[in-house]
Amino acid sequence: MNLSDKLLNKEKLNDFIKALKKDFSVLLPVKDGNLIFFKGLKDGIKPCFDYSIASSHPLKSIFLPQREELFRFKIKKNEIEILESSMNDEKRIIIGCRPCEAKGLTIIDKPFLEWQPRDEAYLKRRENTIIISILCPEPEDTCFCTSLGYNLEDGSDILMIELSGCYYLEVLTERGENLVKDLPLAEDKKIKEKEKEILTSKIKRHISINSPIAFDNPLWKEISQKCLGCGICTYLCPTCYCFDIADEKNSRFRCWDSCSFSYFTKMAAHQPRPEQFQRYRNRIMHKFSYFKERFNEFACVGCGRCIRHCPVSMDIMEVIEKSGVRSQESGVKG
Amino acid sequence: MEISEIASELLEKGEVSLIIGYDKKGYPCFIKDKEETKRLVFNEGCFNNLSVYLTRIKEKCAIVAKPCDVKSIIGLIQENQIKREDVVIIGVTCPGLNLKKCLSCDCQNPSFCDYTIGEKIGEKEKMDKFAEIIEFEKKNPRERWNYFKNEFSRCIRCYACRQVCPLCYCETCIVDVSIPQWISKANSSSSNFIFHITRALHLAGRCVGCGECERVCPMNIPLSLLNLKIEKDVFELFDYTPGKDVDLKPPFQTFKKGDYNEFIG
Ligand code: SF4
Ligand code: SF4
Ligand code: SF4
Ligand code: SF4
Ligand code: SF4
Repeated sequence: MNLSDKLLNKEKLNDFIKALKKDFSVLLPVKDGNLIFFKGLKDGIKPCFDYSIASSHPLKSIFLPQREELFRFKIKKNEIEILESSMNDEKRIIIGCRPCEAKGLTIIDKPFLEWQPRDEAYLKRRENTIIISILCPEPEDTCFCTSLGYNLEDGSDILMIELSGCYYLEVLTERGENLVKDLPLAEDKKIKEKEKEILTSKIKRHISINSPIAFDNPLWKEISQKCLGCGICTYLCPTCYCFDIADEKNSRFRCWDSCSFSYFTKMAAHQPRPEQFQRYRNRIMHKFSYFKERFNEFACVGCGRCIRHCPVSMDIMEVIEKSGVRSQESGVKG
Repeated sequence: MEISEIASELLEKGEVSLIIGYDKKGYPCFIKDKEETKRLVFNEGCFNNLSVYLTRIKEKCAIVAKPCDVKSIIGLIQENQIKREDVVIIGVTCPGLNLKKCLSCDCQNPSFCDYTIGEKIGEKEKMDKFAEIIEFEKKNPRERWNYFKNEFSRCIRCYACRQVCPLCYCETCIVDVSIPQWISKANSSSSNFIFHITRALHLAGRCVGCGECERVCPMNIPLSLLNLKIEKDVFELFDYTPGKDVDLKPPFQTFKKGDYNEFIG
């Protein structure tokens, strides 16, 4: 199938979205005070595409909900009866997420879908959800997506670019193409490259992650001294995917967990990282070393949320720059 | 004198081995080296209440404190978490930052400090701190319940509100215990409610209103409103304001004849 870019007149946007509603449940960014949440399209909901801060929940929360029931069970004398939870197999379309968030999903895909066993619930949601991202109107001071070496198109089915009077739709997948079959063709393809260049040129912060992050850098304690061990940086990160499993009443569920927490993995055996600097180091090592070794890319998309929201202003970019130094005596563990 | 001069002297003389202060961006910073003390400043961006670090740091240190931050240092001393002689307090006079709490702040000039930096600031007109909660109390119980239920429903249980609170220093928090599980780890409307009520009540008579919990919440949950209600109740029932006088016993550490005890029945 040939993929061809399309144009969508701004005045037709509402009709376009309404038409999608026939076959899909449509999720759009909606303002709630200063916050932005993805909500289902209903009467009275006004989408906001030019939001200037990243959405308040990372996109992953739609695919890996913070709390998700795995199954229910009944205990009778010596038997346990398992009652399967019904999987949500709704067909969905997300319109208006940031490109870095769509990219973030392709990172979570690796451990969840490439490794065995595959995560069936996650897979189902990925298969059933089409993503139309929108090129950011203005990057934030904390954005550094261009430092991570991925393409802005990664992970999206369609990339929407706002022009005056219309949206340019860069069609990236077949399922994207099917949605926009009837729209007029975009003749001038140079426009999209130009708009992407304009955006990327506005991104002020750059890092080069040339030297590998060093586990035994003697500076780790100093680097992370401020960290309070909350869950903000991991919970808001579009690529962090750790979860815990627990039973309550007759339900087994999983819920987000974070390697920043002092009791992380305690339920399994013990906490192997008793000090906060070890936990903070793990977050950075996982993203920029362990994940890279296994999947050949970084588990960070440069969305800057962890910088923006950290209560004590820890800056992951500064940390990466400082942490590439290996201690002279290698083999230090901690 | 400037903060940096005092800090440099303290390090030089070996009175402390660490300074907890703010850098030019207003971010918390830790200084051990005399040469680095130049980085220390106080400006309108210094939002953090640095006293949260005092229970985490195991060495003798000096801390830069706004007048309102001194209250939580007093709280920590009253609760035997730190010793007065183990911390050097470098107080700064504060004209008010761009935060809601500053509009009703009752202390521009620090007391209880070893050093004071900045010109003395004259009395300012201030808002009644309890005005907001008095207004809120007018709602009926169902309206109040629904308001908080709706607000708490956004909570992602990142516990930043707890981690950033200087008085939330328990090594094991009730929400972290999994055997037995007292409060569900997953966020749901009921477990969020229990977490928040527990957090607020555990700070009754202790919360100094520094507002850090609300400031850092990524979901904009109005935690201060709940804290304020409890602060007001403690004031009305026990005539006590946390963080004011280090020699007073906080109401839940002591007993006075005639204390409110209707709840005992
Ligand atoms: S958000 Fe900041 S304080 Fe919280 S765990 Fe991350 S780095 Fe530490
Ligand atoms: S910038 Fe921070 S929050 Fe964003 S992807 Fe990277 S680590 Fe995660
Ligand atoms: S950084 Fe931590 S929370 Fe995030 S995926 Fe890695 S181990 Fe899990
Ligand atoms: S900081 Fe906000 S979102 Fe996080 S646990 Fe506290 S109230 Fe909930
Ligand atoms: S205002 Fe919040 S952070 Fe400050 S003492 Fe009270 S509960 Fe703790």
